[in-house]
Amino acid sequence: MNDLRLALRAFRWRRGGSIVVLVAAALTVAAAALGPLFSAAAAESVLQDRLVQARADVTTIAFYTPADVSYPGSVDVVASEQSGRGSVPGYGPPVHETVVPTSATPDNGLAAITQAVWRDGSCDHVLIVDGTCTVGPDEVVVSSRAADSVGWVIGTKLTLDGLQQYDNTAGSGSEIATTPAVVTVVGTYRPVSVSDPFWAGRPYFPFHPNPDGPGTVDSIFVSADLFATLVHPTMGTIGADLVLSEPESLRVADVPTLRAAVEGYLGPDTGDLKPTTGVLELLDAFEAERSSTTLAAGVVSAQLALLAWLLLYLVVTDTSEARGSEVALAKLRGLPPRAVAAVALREPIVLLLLAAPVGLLLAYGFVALLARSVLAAGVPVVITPATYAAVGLAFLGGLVAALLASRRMFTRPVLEQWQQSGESTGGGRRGLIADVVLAVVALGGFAVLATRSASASTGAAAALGWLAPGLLVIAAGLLLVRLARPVLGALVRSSRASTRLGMFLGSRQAVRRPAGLRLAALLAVTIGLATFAVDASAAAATGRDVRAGADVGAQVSVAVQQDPARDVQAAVAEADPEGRWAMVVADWIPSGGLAGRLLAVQPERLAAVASWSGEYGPVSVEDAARLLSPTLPDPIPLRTTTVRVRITSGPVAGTGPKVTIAYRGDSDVPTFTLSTPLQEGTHDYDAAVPCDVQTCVLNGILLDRARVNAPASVDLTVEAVQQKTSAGWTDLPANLDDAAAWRVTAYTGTPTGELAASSEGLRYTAELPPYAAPFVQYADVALPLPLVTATQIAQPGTDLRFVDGNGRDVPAVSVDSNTVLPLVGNAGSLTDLVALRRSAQQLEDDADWYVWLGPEAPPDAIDRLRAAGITVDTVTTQAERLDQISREGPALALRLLLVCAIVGALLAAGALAISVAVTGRRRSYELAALSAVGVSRGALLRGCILEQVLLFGTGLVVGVPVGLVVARLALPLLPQTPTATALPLTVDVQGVAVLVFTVVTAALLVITAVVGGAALLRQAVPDRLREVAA
Amino acid sequence: MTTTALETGLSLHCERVGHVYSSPTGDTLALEDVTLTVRAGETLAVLGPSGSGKSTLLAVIAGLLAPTSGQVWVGGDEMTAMSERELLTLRAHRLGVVVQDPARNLLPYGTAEDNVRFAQRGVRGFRRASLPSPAALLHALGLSHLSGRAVGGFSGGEQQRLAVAMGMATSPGLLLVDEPTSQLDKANRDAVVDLVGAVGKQFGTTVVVVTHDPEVAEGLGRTITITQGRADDQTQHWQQHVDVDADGRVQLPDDVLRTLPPGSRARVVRQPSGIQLVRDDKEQGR
Repeated sequence: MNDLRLALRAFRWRRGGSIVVLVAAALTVAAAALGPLFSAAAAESVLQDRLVQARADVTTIAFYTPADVSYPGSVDVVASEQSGRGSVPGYGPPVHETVVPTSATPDNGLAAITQAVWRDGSCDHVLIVDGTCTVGPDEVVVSSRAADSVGWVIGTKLTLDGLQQYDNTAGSGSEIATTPAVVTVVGTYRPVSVSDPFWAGRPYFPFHPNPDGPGTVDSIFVSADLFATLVHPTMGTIGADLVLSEPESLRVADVPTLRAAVEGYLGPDTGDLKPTTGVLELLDAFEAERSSTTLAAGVVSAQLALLAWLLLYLVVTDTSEARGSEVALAKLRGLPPRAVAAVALREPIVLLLLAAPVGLLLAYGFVALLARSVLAAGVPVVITPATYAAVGLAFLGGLVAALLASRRMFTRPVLEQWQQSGESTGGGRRGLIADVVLAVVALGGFAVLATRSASASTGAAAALGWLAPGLLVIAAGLLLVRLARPVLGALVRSSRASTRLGMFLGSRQAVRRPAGLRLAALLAVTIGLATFAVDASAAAATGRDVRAGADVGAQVSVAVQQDPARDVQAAVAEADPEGRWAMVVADWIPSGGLAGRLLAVQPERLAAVASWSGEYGPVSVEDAARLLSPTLPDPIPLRTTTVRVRITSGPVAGTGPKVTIAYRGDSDVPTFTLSTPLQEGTHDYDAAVPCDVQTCVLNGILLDRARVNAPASVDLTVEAVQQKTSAGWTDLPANLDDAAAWRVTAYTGTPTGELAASSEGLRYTAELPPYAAPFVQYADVALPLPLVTATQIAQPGTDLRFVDGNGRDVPAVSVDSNTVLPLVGNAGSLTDLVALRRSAQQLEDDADWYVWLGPEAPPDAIDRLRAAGITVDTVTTQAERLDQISREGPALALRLLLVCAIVGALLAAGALAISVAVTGRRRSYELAALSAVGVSRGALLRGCILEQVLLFGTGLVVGVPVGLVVARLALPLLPQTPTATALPLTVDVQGVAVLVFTVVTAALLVITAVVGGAALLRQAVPDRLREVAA
Repeated sequence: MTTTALETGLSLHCERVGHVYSSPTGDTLALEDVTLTVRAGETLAVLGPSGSGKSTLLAVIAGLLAPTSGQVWVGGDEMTAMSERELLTLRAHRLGVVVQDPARNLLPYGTAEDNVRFAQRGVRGFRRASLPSPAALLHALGLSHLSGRAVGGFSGGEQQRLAVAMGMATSPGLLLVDEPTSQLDKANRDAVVDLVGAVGKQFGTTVVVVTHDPEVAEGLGRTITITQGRADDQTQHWQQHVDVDADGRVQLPDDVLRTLPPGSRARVVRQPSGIQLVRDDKEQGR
């Protein structure tokens, strides 16, 4: 009891130092606990993101099989097969379904391709637009857009060819008579969300209607009873999906259970009844990211813990020295070694015991705040066994610090202990050797990491890269601060004989104080690390912005339906006539010939809308827009039923060509008219075109001799191109006096001949080989199609070809290349949408269509698109993508590093102030004595402040440049993405961020120095000389 | 005075004790062949100027410093042959030490009683139960009025008297006191001297006090002087060593200085048996 009372009195007597030890110990514990706490929370966040963002077809455990859907027990067979497989946490009960492909034909209408679907509970996941969702055996619900597109209404009878029933009206015969099922539309629906996990990612909603022929429309939902009326056997698909219905309920701790349950559910491969899922691969990817995040967070927080431990060691050393006289007194009184040790260690141990829960709480609160701002919403902060282990380790580390700090007190003779002051020369030499050894080890470690990074850009191995900055900063900081000692020594010598007493006192004290330069080294290391972290974070933030932009393509990407009844391009032109904020994009994978995806854009809108970064490569967005839309003559519009060309031809030798006029209608595909043989002399050649009912442009003049097996010589001049209007024949602006507005291509054979233009018209001369059919084509469409390619796809100047949906070869050329392009990344090319639509067929059906919205898009942009007649499927934003990327493991680790490094720098700056507080009582005797002998308080104040400024300045002057150099060297070693990315991430110095950090840090340090110096001087009152020295 | 004296006075004997401080700049002779004996219960003042070696002698006797040569016996036990642990036990049970600068003897944050308890913590076994309570000790030493206060705010004289009390906390047989009055005014100095004298008389404790102040030494009984590491017993005052420094100057013993105060004149008389220093009466008469 007396001991406790005495300990409390001692704590109160040295309250400044004791509180500092308590704070330093708590910070050490907090820093150690930070890693496990944050990595556990980050793992929960990553799991949530992985599960919630995963496509439904990945997370669903799909269980389906071909079966005779007319057999009533088929569903039961599947259900019983499935029921033995148990349940899976986070997943709902099985969703049963039966699907049969069919066509649906209304009376007196065109057939549409679709599928008859019964999916248990589908009514809960669609909006009924009209009618009802409850269906009988001969009733169906169809999609509202399909109904609108093909003219179905409530009450429409649909004949389903794929669902054959017994024809009871047929007479008896040797063969069973069947008839297609006829059903009645009783409702129309719209899916609440096509990405609703309930739909399991299945293609229930394909929509490519064709008013002129069989198109594809969304599923029609039927009653399960309908299948029982079908002819045996009717093959379809019967399935039961397990849908991940509650991903947010799953925690990291549940993952082993989830994995085991999924594996148990999948069971052995039994042939047809094998469930499939991508969730195991998803969990594998999560585990990989989790382990790298855990390692990265551990490495980062270990560095902070080490810094905090060093601070603790310095503080405990200072306070131990303050207890040195008590230990000497204990020895003098003959206390046994154990009692002497108790005197020496009682206080730090009590403080460490107090600090452990305080530090844990501190770390918990800190991580809770961090989690709220950077992790997925609702992620819990969990204290794991690893956290307790880290706290235990930190406690042991604190004990080691206390033992190391007190070790000399145990062994030093009593008299020496009373006489002890300052650091011995031998200690200084040992310190230098220790610093050099530490620096060499750190540099060696960095070299190893730099070598390893070549073979590991992601994963746990790469996570060790987080050690690199710390190692480099430690090495450089320790060595450079060593150079500060002679510099400060020179300052002492120069001011010794001068009248600048404050300068002398400050510089002398900065050099003399044992902990001074140690703290300056610590400060330099932490400021270096913080500078690196600020620079790296700014660079990574830029990289994330660029990645998010590249992934989405624009600030907002709206997936839309390409409806032949309402062309997206025309609708966007109506919604955004000035082309400032919206652009149509077709994402298409050619049928062959060209690797990767082909992204068709509108070059005139590209710069205003697309997210484009200098990191993509040398081609700017303006360059890309210009390259994709070379200067071409304006199209020649046709508004007529008859087109005429006037041609003057020389003698036609052999079998001459036939003159055929080509135009492009709404489909933008070249169409050739009937042909007329070329005749010598000047003649008009007329062709009928349907350009009164559709929008057409002139495409060119084909000299057709594709079936002529003989050479020919041609010399002709096209003198006029006219169209017939109500006012008679009028000339079209065909640019016949400009040879560059036309080109020669080949319908068959190779392009042959020369074009020349004059006031008389366009002259074409050629010696044609057998079968050659030259096409004098108006050059309003680029040919070959210019592509801006990803460098991985093709180098600039490479001739390319690709195959369209109808199997036609389309020539293309890479006009330039970037490492990365929007949306397609490093695996695709950009081209002009209009040109592609004119060159490639089946694009409308095969491509995914988007409308990208740029930064100037109005808030109601999507409503405007809808108002213009566009059917919007889903909306993806760059901000959402950025949010997702920002919660990936590497980004989280970097944020932790930034926070830890800044906290570390604050700790080190605080350590100097703490050092003032801890040594304040002793220092105040010296200052009081100087004051008593007549040194002015102004000089003392200047000395006190200058001492701090010199030490802080050393840390800042060394730390910031070291941090910048380290950023250049170590940033490339840090994994910034969980998986490899083609996007070149910047490693440039982020000047503004670093400058702001430096200025703020310098201001804080100066304020701390002034406040600390003034506080120190306030203690230096003459009465202090009468007190008992501690 | 009702306190119990656990240890009656212990005798002390130093035999040709010498000590040399070694340093990178060279060796310094601090003690040279010091031989002295202190009887049990006796109070001895070791008088000498600064740097004469008196504190070194005290540190050797306290077991805080191993002598370079010679032996020290305390109560018949040769402490120069003791291990560090035995020395600790000796200091815990039988030997009280009051070091120079009273603050070094005290826990500044504790009360006077806390300090007494702290000083008694090294005592083990049956002796522990027989120790005087802190209050009793302070009362016995006339320091009851200090008992409940934290010593950080004590005056110099109070701290010094409490420091002496700390030395007596374990009722030792031998109390060693180093410069107990060095920073005190006359009144406090007298109070401390009275206290030290009372300890010797009333507890039977052998007391050795090191001081540079002749008046303090005079108030304590037997005195030996120590000069440049050599000790002279004042009981044999007709023989005393003096040193002639590099400039030929001699520092006279204090008692001789009373006869020949600084500024007086003397005659040096050469005789067959030696040199005689005779006061010049003419000079004295002026």
